[in-house]
Amino acid sequence: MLGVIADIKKDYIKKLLEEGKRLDGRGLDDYRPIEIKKDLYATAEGSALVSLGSTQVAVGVKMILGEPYSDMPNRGVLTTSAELGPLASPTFESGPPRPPAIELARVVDRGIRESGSIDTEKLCIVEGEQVWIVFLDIHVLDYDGNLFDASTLACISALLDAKMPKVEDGKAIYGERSGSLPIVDTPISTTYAKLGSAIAVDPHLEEEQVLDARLTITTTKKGEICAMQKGEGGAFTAEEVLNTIDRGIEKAKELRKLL
Amino acid sequence: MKKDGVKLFVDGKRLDGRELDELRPIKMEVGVLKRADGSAYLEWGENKIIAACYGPREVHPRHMEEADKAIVRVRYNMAPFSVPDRKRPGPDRRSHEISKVTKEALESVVLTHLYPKTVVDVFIEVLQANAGTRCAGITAAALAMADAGIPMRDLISSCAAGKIEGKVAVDMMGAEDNFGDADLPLAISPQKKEVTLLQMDGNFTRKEFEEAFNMAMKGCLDVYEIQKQALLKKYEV
Amino acid sequence: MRRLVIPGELVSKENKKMGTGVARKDGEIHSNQLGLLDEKENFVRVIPLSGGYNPKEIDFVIGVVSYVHNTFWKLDIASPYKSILPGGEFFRDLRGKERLRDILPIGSAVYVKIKEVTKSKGVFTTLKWRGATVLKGGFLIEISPSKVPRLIGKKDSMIDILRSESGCEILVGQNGVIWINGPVENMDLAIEAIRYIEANSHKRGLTDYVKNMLIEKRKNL
Repeated sequence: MLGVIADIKKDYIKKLLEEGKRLDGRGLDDYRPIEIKKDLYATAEGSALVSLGSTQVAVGVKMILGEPYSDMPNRGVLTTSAELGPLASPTFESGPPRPPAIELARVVDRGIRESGSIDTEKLCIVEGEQVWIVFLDIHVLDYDGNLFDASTLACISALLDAKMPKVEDGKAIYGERSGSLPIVDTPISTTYAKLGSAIAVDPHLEEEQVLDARLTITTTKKGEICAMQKGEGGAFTAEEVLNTIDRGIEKAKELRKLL
Repeated sequence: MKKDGVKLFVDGKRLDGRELDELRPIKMEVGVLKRADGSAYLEWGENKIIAACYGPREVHPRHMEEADKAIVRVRYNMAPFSVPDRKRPGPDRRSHEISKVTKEALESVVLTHLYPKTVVDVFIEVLQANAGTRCAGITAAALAMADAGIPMRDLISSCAAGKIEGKVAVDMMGAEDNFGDADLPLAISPQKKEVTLLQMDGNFTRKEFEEAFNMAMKGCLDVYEIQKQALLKKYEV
Repeated sequence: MRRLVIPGELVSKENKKMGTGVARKDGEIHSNQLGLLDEKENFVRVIPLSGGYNPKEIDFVIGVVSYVHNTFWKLDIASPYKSILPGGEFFRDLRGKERLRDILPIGSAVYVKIKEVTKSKGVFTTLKWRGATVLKGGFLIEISPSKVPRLIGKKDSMIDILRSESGCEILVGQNGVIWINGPVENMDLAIEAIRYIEANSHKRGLTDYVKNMLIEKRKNL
């Protein structure tokens, strides 16, 4: 595999996008095929494996009992982490999470947190003393572009799949379940790549390697915006930002039907 | 780890209904990842494992490079959600040791002299664990390497045997592993039946060891047959 | 139909001449690779289905400039081994104050001949060879180097069909990197055909199938 991107590849991808075409035959507003599998890993309270084209992301939900934050004594805690392990790409390395993995985890986390997706008050066992801590672990298996959208879909799917362990005398009983997690909203992220004057949704790897800038928009069930992230060195005009938001809000409605 | 009062046999059968010499159900699929040069997914009982192979490729950091041969590197990793108590991300002492013995189990069959100054990287990810992940990982890794086209004089097949309630048995599942008396993971190159991984903990008499060893060897050969089918299936017309 | 063999598998008990992908042990010949068994009366080899590119002195490859020094370019040739294109191996002399990075900056793609592979795996390439060229326009795709012989075909049969029926210029590097240039629709067609060959390289009757596929699809352009 070539490690360096040839200029002629970038030029060709850009030329195609500006004509409204893409290497894999998609239109600028088309996602790759999406598949969501749930309830895969019995050791997790909830799990999902999402494939977005050839990108594959596994997410597991683990729940443990712990102390709440002092400023939110009656709310459960959400912790999101992402591992871009070396299995998923020749460019990923072993070791502690680097900025791209941390950015991914934080953007996904913001979408879930700010949409109020989880009713964290229902995760309180004893106010100020004991609450559920929900760990969302994003495990990327195959990186072929657009980890943001694949990860958000996988996280929401895993949360919807999760069954809470029973609590007896302040202890979690993992063998027995006491119902689903209190999920009240389902945030969906849509990510756009800008190359030249073209802006396309769900960039695959070859587009991601040459894009100028990236914009992720996460929206709630009501169609409100709950998280955004612009990435890479290029820039968007104000008009492009507003247009892309409109496209993202519409697209999220379609994706939400897959949950 | 012994515990009294835990019954590992019900009506003469093991907890999951198996005989002493019976393996758990095993499923293997080759070529499951796009980016990796070779890959395999394996379900072995309640274990779910994915392995990828990259290489031969340039060695980073450069000082690890060997002038006259390829090096083999292995990273065994457990997903945080693969065990009942969430595992903190990143390697611990156990996974470092497993990575090391797995590398040693695999590298003996690789024709390293064909690609001097390069590395063959093998990554094993445990997505769901239930006893025997190192054997399952080695088995999946060998498939990923073959799929990547790595020149090898043989495959590597792996299986464990052990002792539960004083009886020698093959391929222990979770409860048997936790409450059994001994564990003997083995890996072999199946053509010559040479042992490339052997570890043991617990307690065996000399006679029990030989029985367990033969049982694990037989298990490896059964695993080998499933590996062969999985490789052929990828290119089935 | 050639038989698929796996690493370690016994392929012959006879004393035959050995090609690639096989080795003798204890008087028997075993496969060293996952691949297709090519067995003749007095010869046996295994044709790999996957694997990396090991540079050879007779090969043409497609590389991308990954670094520019004062006197040479480093080329990424999709191999564990980086290759060098010395400044003196550019197809013409430098003019005036021209520097190497002005004529081939990082990201430039070239179709070069491998001139020398040293014992320590230093790979030296040249543009001073008939057919070698700097690639302008078009697109690069990659396949496994083990599938290049199938893509070219016996006496160029497959690549000739690809070129004529897709209407594209196509250059194939032995390292599995392929350059395609033509109108967008024709390039789509060529890429589709190459991907088909890549996925079905172990099947027979591929040349006729690809020819018919290209003729049919081109009617609809």
